[in-house]
Amino acid sequence: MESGLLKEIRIKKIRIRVLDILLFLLFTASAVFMRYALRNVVAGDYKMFFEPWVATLREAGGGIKGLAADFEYVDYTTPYLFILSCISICPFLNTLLLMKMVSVFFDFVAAFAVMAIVYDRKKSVTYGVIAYGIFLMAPTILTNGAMWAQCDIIFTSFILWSVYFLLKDKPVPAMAFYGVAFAFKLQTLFLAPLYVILWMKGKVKLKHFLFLPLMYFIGIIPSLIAGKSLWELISVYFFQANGAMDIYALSHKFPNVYQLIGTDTFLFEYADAGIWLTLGALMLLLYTFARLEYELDHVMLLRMGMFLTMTVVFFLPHMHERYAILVDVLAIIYVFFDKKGFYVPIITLLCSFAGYTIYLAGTNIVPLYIYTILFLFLMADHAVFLYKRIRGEKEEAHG
Amino acid sequence: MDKAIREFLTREIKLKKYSLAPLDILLMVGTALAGACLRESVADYLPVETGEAGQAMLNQLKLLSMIFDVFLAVLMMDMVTRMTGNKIKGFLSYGVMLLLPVLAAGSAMWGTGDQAYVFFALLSMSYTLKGKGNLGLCSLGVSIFLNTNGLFLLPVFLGLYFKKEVKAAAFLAPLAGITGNRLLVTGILPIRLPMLQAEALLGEGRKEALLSYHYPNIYQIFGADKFVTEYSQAAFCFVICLGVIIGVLAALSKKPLTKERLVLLFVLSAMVLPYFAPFMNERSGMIADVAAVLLGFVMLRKFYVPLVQVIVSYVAYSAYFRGETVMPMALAAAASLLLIMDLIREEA
Repeated sequence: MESGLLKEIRIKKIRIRVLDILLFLLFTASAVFMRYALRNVVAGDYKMFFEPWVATLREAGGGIKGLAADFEYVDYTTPYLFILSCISICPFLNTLLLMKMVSVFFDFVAAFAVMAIVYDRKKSVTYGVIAYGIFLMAPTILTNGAMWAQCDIIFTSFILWSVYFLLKDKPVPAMAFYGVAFAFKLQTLFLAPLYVILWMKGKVKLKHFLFLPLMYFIGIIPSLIAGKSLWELISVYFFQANGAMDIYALSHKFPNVYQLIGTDTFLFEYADAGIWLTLGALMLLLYTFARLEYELDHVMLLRMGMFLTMTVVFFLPHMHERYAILVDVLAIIYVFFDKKGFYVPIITLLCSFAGYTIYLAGTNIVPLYIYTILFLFLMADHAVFLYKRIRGEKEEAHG
Repeated sequence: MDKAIREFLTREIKLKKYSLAPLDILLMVGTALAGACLRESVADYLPVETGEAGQAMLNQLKLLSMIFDVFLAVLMMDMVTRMTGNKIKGFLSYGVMLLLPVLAAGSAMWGTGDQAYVFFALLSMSYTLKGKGNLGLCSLGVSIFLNTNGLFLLPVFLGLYFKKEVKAAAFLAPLAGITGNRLLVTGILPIRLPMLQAEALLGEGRKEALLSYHYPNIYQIFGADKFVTEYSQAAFCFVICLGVIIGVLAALSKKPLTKERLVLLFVLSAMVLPYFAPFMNERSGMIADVAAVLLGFVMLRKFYVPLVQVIVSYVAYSAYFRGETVMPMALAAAASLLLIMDLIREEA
């Protein structure tokens, strides 16, 4: 029996054991079942936004024709609206289930990216499969799509593939995937400072950044065909960055600096100040990481990615509960690069999921400022780790 | 082309004694712009309801404070560069100072001109760290003249006196400072210093006498509204004794009086005294905030000191701005106490 489980099958250079296959099947089945259990949950966002959007798309004819619809308010770009438009005319199942199925599909796309990244690091299929399983069972990943019907995992999955190629020193596909992610969601830019550092360290070229406008343009082609004006399509992100729909709170249940000083006063003043503070903080960090001389290894790259993204979401106003999803996924991968950093995904997911529970369950047992302190602790930990690494104190920094 | 741009950004250009890279200039300009916009975003706020004349005075004070913000940033850059021998840290400290929320809100929202006395307090530290303690005391005298919070640094000079680093005669400067300040506050001297007028305006807005006005100190843990007269008198004596103890212990310590240790003593003194002093207001931690930034740069392992100190200070600010706190003030006071204990452990 034991020898049977450990029996190896070779596919090209990859050695897969029967145990790996069984683990993969177990995790996949569990992940599917967990998502199935959440299928009937209807979140407020669905009632308030998604359902009316799909109805509008359906009224306009669905598919490409649907993209010509005039919305009272929509902050999604063409690629996801096109998916919704296709859903609107799908004769099978209901809209909620179809939307959730799209997100769940991308849960798996992302999970495969995680598996590939970890396999490349460890050269072990078992570790890769375990990472795949952990990723699919992470509470924020599980609930984002399957419970909340949100689509953050779509852009996240493309970013994960971008990270995969970055770690393999293949900047062209890395930036192409990053561009695809950008075509889906503006939040992709939370990780942009990392790509600037990668440019400063010679890992990517300036011309590769052209993938961002290129992919965005390719993404809006269906809407152009449907007859939408170019300006309207380009201005979606300007409208989103303006935060016009989110101005009623400085933080939407996200454990950032505004949970310490209050989310409901100085709404306009602090919103502007917060943007400048974020820019200033990023300038200081980018200057530090660009000006100092060091070898940017994979562990540092992941830590830097988390640290920079956390800095952005910590200071930016109007952040939503789900906006640390990039940190969540990088933290899960990170533990496979540095096992002593096991606390990183635990604290990250704890802080991230706090906002989810407040939104989805309406309960707030631990005050959000406690999660903010935890979040800040983690940011400090990233900063200390990076500082030690940059100074070459690898022993102390572990990993 | 990428390589050429990267090399251009980091290649140092010699300007007489100094050498600068375009990236350094970018940081300096960028953080200055971000700092200016940050202040502009919140500058419409007035901390107290007042007439047109009062508003005009507060607005002028805001402008003056912003100018002193820049002075503080430049002075900090000079001190950090000199102490660490690392100009990158110097540039970073300049940027941090311009973006420091307590300073930005201090100048653009409070508009009470606190930055002026804090500047002279920092200048006093700078002179002392250069080995010019007597000049340091003169500068501290100016700081105390503008605001008696400058006294928070005096215990360190007492220690330096016992160590024969400063002369007894130099203490005439802080003495003159406090005398001048009292004469102004009581109206005996007929000069109307705008900073003191602004402080008086804020004082009028306080509904009742409290042992602590949102300042995260011991009274936020035990209660700020009971035994106000009794506790305040006792605390006044306690703080004087505490200051003397800090000075004497600093002098008695066999540890060499390095520059890093001196900075640590300044921070400790600036945190301990307002922690027990009565009638502290939300902005009483400003010297500690700025000194903590210096400590964070010269003693990197203590990076969390400015982080926690600034957060705790801003929690106090927001308690005034909002009229209530999100985080209980007792928790902020406990965090402050933990920091003090950590600094004492480091010094012991």
